[in-house]
Amino acid sequence: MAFGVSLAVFALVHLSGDPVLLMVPTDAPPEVVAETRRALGFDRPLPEQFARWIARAVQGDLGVSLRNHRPVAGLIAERMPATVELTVAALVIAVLVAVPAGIVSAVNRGTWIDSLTMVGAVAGQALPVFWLALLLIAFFGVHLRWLPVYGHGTLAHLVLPAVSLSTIVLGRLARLVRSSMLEVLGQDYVRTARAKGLAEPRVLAIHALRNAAIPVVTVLGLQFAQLLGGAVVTETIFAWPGVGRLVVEAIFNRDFPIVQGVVLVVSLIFVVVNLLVDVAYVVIDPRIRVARA
Amino acid sequence: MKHAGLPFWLAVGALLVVVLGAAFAERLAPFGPGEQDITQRLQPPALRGHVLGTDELGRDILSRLLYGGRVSLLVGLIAVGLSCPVGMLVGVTAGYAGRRVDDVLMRVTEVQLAIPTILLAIAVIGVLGPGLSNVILTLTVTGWTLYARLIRGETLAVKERDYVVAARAAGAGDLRIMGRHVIPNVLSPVIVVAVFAVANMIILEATLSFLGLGVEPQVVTWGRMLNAGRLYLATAWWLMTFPGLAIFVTVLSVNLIGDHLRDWLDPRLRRSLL
Repeated sequence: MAFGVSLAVFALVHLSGDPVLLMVPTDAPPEVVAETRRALGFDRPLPEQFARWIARAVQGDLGVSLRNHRPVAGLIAERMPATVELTVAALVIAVLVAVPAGIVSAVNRGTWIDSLTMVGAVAGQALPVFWLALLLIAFFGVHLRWLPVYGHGTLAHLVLPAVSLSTIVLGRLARLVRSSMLEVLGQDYVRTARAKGLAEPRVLAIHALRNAAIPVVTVLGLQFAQLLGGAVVTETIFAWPGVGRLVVEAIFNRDFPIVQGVVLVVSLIFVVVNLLVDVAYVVIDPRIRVARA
Repeated sequence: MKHAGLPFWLAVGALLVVVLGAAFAERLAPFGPGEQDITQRLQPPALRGHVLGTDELGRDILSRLLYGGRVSLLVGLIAVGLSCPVGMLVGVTAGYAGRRVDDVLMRVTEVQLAIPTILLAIAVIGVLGPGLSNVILTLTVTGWTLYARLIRGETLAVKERDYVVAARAAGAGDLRIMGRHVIPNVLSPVIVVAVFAVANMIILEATLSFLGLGVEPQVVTWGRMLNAGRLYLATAWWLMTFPGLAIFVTVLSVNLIGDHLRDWLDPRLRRSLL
């Protein structure tokens, strides 16, 4: 998997033309170009370059930036905490809003509460994240002056970017929680739980939600990639010092080792998150534990 | 079929307005999309003259919206029109051929699934360079896996059905079975997925334009209008409000129509697409 991603990324970057020409001054004599090429190993055959890149990558060496010659791994490590902070905050907001909304919607199926919540969810799915970000900046940042509109540091700085980013998954999540709850609420064990006189909140929280959680967690894991992708846009708008902004700057500078490194690292994070989702199944559903034992 | 409610017809109406507006932009637009009038710069919306106001170069926002809609709709439709057949071909081949071919093709789609769409798109466009055809190519590259995975699953299911077995017994070749028996049976989920994909492509194109990685600078798009408008969000709200609204309404309409189509064509998909 990781190998496939690296191969794809490597192929992509090497379709882009000669990186050496981007590094030397435009009026550099051919000898200088050739010398730079040899010094950086760009004169080797492509399979060899790939093998070297992989061999270094597994040791944590992702090459150096073409611009400032700093190690790519270091640059990513520097920026990653901010991105993790942003995506996790967005995920928490999405779950805190979407799960109750989905449950309320399912419990009140067919009423105006249901309709209103689902209209909100459908609208949320259609909202371009960069537009919402601009609207939030204009209203809460510029008009009301409640929250800072760019930069990173305090909790207040986190609010607007995290809220913008959360809409990427919020609507979809709320709809999924609703449909998943509706399915579970029709099951025999829910009827049994009610019949034995359990209070409704307990039925919902323990008996229904836990069973409804499996598809929700699966989708959350898959959607995490979209959150990481959305971070690219959000970070650019809010001047958030994460890997998303790093990669956009790198694209404009044609600094491809950084692009290569970020795509690789982000994909690995996605793979790890989905492994964690598999672990979460076992926690949520003891039947899976039994089946595996 | 579920009775089509008010939201569905509102969506059809809104989409019709957007499509007709884009198609007849020359006739409908009160001004040219690039027509500058420095004396009229940053005018707020007014009942006379510039209905939706003007931008920092005195260009009419309404006219630019109408012309910008062309790029959004065309790019969305063409990207889906290209990625859908490619994905279908890969999916049918993987599902039908099985074993080695299936393994290789599905590994490729898994790899692509692990890379966030926007990140992949900006990496591809960064390599290719901006421009209309590169944007379309990029969206196609990011979009085909969706159909491939869907079609493969459906093909695996259909392959074992009696009518396919019967067709084979009657001596039909692989190509004929795929073309005449498998593909028609998996078409309805594909149509539903493709409709939602148009909406996603419109957002993705706007995102690329917004980041400054979209089509040629002289071409007006909603995403680029938004990007220019962000500099004036404190002083001229109309610059970033209307293009965003246009994207939002278009995407919402397409999604609502897609929801309805799904319920109509293939209720089984409800769960997997939500």
